[in-house]
Amino acid sequence: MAEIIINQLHKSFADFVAVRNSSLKLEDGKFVVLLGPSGCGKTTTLRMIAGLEYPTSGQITLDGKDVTYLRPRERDIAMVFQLFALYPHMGVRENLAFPLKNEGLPKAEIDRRIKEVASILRIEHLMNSRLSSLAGGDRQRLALGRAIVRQPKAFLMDEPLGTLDAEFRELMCIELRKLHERLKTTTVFVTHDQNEAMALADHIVVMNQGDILQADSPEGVYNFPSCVFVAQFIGRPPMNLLPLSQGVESGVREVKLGQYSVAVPLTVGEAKNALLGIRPEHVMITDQSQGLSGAISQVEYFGSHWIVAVHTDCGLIRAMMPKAVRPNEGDVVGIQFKTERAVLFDAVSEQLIPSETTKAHQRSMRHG
Amino acid sequence: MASISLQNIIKKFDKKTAINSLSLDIKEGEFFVLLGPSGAGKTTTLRLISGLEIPNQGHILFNNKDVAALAPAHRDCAFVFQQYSLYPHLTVYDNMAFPLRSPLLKTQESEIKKRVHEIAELLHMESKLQRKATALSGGEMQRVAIGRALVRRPQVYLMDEPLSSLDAKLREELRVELRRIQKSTGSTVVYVTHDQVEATTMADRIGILEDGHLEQVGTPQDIYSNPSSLNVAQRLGSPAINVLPTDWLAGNTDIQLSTKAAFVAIRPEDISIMPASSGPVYKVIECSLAKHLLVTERAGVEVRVSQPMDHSITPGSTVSLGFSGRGSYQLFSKTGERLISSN
Repeated sequence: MAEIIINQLHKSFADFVAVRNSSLKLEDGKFVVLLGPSGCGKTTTLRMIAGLEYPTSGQITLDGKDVTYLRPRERDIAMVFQLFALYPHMGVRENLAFPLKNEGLPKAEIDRRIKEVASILRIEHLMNSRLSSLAGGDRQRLALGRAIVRQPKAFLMDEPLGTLDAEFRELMCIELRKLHERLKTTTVFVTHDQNEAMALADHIVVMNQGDILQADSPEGVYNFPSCVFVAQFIGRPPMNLLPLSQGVESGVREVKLGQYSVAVPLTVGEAKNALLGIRPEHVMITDQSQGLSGAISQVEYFGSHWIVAVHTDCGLIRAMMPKAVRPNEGDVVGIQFKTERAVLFDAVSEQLIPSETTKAHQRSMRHG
Repeated sequence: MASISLQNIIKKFDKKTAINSLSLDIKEGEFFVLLGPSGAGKTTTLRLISGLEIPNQGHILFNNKDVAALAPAHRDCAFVFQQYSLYPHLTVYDNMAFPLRSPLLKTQESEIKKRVHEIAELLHMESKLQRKATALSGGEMQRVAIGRALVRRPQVYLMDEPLSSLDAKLREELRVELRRIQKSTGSTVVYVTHDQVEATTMADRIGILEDGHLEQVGTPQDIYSNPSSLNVAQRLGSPAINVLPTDWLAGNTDIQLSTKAAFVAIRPEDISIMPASSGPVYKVIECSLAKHLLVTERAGVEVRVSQPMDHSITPGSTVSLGFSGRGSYQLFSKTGERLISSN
């Protein structure tokens, strides 16, 4: 068990700043995901926590102890690169025992730990099997077992699911989350895949170009993105961003989109130029052709739902529709918003314009 | 553009039967997707159509004419492979122009120029036409490979997982683009994939291929809402359909469970979430707002629910689930055959 605190961490490679004066508290027992596009600094941050890189400046503490310049093996943290690395010529038991033998543990202790891990992962009945006889799911569990058998204070994982195909990746996400529920070991997980992040994390840290843009619950980054980048990075299809026709003042409950008034949560900030952010599932399609409306320009069927794009005089708006309907390209439809989830951004700074709702969320994050 | 008819095709490699009496009619101007796991025979089917493989039995017809005697070049199919295969020493322009300059087509340079620019614009590659193929990113190379097929006006486009090597964003873009190009040109496309999102979003009709035979052919909506077997039900849908043992579900639903039924298949979006109450409760394993997904468990059976949620539900907490007979569901026998219920 471990609490990791990063304080003003900075890392540059010659002129290139990989991580810029970042501070972050990783709470004990939480599953934290560092999320961002390639080059955002997420892997560099992870490697500094692991001790594989040393920061240019700043400090990392593990349970209150300064570990900034300790060697990796002195930190009692397990780095997992690829969950799927198994030794094909060894049996199930040998695969689990190998990392422990390397540490020079006595045989009795090795046996005890293997038994424990096998029971956690429900693979006791496979302990004497050959690797080649295992089904895909069991192989996944065994690979996980390899990581947890060492009982480190924290797990650091660098895109461990990156090379798997989509179906396997989803299964593995569920396995990982279940395991975390049982072990509650502090985990830092790096990925560029927002689906993985949303599925796994207690906390998501969104990074871009060396900066931490938002550190929040999955719900927080999804509902109250701190800036335009986060709004577009998380959610598929991405959040609709529609330029407003008038500036936004503090203390209002209504904004102007083209000639139409749109209700929004009470604003606590202002901007001369603003964007209305609304997710496709909060856009409702009606058969009204007055008010905000337009022709459907694109229809995609996903089985469980449809995604349609509607060409309006306020811009292209994407909406999610239930599977029971049958939208057609060219249909003229009306658009309404479920406005309690609408957010506003300053169009120039691209930062969130706070509202009563976003403030309430921030307060709940601080106290909960 | 051609209609394509496969009649009782059998294809064996040594003793292994890759395609087992497959019959299929693809209409002119249709976007037809062959969906199936690896090894199902998808690629072999494409190669049979193109003439790269010869069937052991059966007939292949283009526009009702048997093409058995025609060599691949004379069948006039444009093939896009999963792995781009470009001429590295040529520019993007010359790579795309290459098929039009072949001895068979001998297109005029002015016409080539027109078509290459047209397609390059569709694929957002216009600014890169003079680059060498090797100076492109992987995604760009694949777009050129697709473009090289699209500049032609062949009898049929055969596409073998053309988007699977691209990143998610580009895949989404090209999915829409390919479909738009196909519609506007009225081309016949046979498209092979194991990605069910590509299948439902692009296809006019889907053929579900399993072990060398077609399990079901129909529109995406048909197959999604009316699967002919448990296998097909599980092939489409993300998150995957729930396959629930009837004895596990009995007493928790107003679904009429016949005695023959061993499984009830219910789509995740047809299950409702309620606060934990009396009756069976489900432990939350995973909750993803972005995917509208809740994964729960009761007595060793996992249930996936897909509903828009306003708030995240904490893993470890419990909820009640509603399996209403009013939603859509299917009953299946122990061996996965569809049972048509009386209601």
